[in-house]
Amino acid sequence: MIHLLSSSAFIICNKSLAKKLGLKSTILLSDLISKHEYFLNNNLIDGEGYFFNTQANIEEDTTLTPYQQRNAIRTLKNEGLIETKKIGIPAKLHYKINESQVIKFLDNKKKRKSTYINKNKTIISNNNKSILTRKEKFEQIVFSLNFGTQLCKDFILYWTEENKSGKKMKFELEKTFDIKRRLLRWEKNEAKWAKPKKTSFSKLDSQLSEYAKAKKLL
Amino acid sequence: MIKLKNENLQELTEKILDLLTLTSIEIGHRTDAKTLVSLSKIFANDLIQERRFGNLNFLQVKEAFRIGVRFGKDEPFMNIRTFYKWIYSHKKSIDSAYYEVHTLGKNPAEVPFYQSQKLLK
Repeated sequence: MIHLLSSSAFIICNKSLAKKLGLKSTILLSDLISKHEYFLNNNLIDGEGYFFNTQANIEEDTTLTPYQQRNAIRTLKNEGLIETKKIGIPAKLHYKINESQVIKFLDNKKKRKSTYINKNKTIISNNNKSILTRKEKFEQIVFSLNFGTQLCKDFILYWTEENKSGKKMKFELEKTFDIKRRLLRWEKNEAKWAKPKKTSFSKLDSQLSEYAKAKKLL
Repeated sequence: MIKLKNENLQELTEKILDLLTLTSIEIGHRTDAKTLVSLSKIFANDLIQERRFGNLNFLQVKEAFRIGVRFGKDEPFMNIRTFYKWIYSHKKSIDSAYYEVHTLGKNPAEVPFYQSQKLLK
């Protein structure tokens, strides 16, 4: 019973590989690697690095059915992690582990993941910090361009509006944004926006004013 | 009361201008100053020149306008043709009142728009 606690009684698989390749493929790969080590220790590996394993053996070790094995092997071959070929009469499927490819794959995976996590963290932390700093920088640039203070304030108030997630400001969401050009356009439009609205006269008022004009004309 | 044929053109034009402005407000139109002046001048001149309105006075013209705006059959417009329609219609009422009193023998106090003088002699 004690052998149940030995490492050979457990299926060990790498989580990051499992996320990328799928659980079954990862289990198969780890089984193949352990087999590879076994063949290596016993000098049974041929010159090209091929070793054999049978479907029945794999099924016993990993509980993967032949169909699942075929699928898993296809995935591993597609990723370039293993190579297979049939050798001998009757033909046996021989496997070769592409160590460098496995290491590369793991490394890539780790890098990608770590950068992803790190990026996430940095983005969150950076954004929380930098949205203020970015805003300050934006304000500095706007005020340094010698436009009217009120105009600058209005401009900043409008363009530093945050998006829903609060990570970006309105001006950052624009495809192109040249502050000086935008300010020039803003200044131009100010005159248009500042136009006094037409005060609506009543019909009677307008008619009376027309009457007064008519009186003068007479 | 001065008859229209005896009115001074300038004074009548001013009175007509007031009347037209009032009418414009009553109708709900917005007539500009130039149109008002033009209409007043033309209409004042017409009232003095036209023999058919010569025996009317300005108060009767005012009354014609008042009734025309309120009870006129057609859609009111600020043009000479409409003014003519209103005055002509009112003139008919006055003539009819004269007929009712003098021919049918009705009590003058009971006949609206009655005036002792016949408009057409």
